Amino acid sequence: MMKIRSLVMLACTVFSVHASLAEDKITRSDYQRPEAIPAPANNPLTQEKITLGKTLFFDPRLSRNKDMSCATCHSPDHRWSDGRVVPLGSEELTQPRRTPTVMNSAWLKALMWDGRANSLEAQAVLPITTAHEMNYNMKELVQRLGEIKGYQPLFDAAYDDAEITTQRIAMALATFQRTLVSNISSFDRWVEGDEDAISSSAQRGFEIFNGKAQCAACHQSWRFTDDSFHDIGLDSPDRGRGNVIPVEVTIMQHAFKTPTLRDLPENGPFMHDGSMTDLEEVIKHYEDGGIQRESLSREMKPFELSDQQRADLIAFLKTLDGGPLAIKRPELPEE
Amino acid sequence: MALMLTTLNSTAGIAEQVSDSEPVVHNLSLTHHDFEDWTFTPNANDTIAITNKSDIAHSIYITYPDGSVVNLDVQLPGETFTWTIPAAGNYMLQCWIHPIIRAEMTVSP
Repeated sequence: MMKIRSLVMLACTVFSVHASLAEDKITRSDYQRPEAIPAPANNPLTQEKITLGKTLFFDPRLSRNKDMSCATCHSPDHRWSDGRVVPLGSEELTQPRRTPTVMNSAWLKALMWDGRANSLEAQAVLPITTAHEMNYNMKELVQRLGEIKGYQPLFDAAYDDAEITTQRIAMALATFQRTLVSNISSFDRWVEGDEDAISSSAQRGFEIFNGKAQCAACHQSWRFTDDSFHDIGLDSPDRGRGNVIPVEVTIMQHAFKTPTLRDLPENGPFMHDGSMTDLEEVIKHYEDGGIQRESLSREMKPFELSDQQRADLIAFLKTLDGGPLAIKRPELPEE
Repeated sequence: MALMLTTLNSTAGIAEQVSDSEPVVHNLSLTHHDFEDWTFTPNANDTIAITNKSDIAHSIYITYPDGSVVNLDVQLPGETFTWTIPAAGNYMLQCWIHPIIRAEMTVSP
């Protein structure tokens, strides 16, 4: 159990200095795409594991009632989310959270809206075992998959023997998800030097994104997130990351992980609770600065954009859309 | 504390140890998503003065060798905050806001 030491500030002193802050002007090159997909040394990418993971991802037999697969809520038809404000199975929850996309998850430093998983392998089993989602348990799942003859050659190819374990299921699911990478967008072509790839309006929006609106304080890197956690002042009782770390850490109350801005769905829903359906509403929320409370992110500083600047910012965000991934659903193994 | 900072301050990476037993202040810089590399060797009772040189807020916490956690609250841009090392061992410095920030500090007796 984690303990927070009290009276810490007796040993710690905070004072302001007039040291020059980093003069980091963000440029196009800061958004360059990586050359390769990262993977942990103990779970390298292999075609065999990708094939197995893809099959598992689309197989509803991973849920207790055989009626929900990972792809039910992380659907290729909805940019690997579900397009729903309230996810399937979460209708009765008092604080449901929108289904995040699993695209570009190979680069995630923290997973789930509250960061309670620190790797794709750790995250992979959570929806399977969550009561309001797939509602199964790994012991029975391992047994069920063992009884499906068609899975034996897939596990054998991926791991050099046909043994099925919780760890191997998680590793294969994680491996497949690492291959879900955004297509090259018009913004990416502009970053690479194609000056005509995005409109003048979008280019002005890029300047606003990095300048006046300070979106890049959190939506950094080619994924447009630094995986940081912030309370952005939404009117929601959900304590987010505050539920999973010590309550003394006030700044994490109502804090949620910064989502990617790539491949945004046309009409949202946006925000962790799916409470907004268009980007103009989202931008105006940031302009207003959100609900003032102790946990509010220090990056939430009110500002004002003109209608034209808001339109430019939206034009820029739309250049981050690379379109749906071309993917063929797998044939599920027979019993 | 302020006096100690002016008299025993070390520059980043080079500790000006007055004596084997006298505590030293080591300077450490925090950028957007990382601690800058340091070359000093901290000892027990030394003080680490960390300056947030980024233009975003951080919330650094330190995991002690026994697993307990010291929460250093929120560090705004430009602020310097200090932490006095209580004992030898391995300490992990992390940020609540930015999980990518992570540095291990080994402290000698």
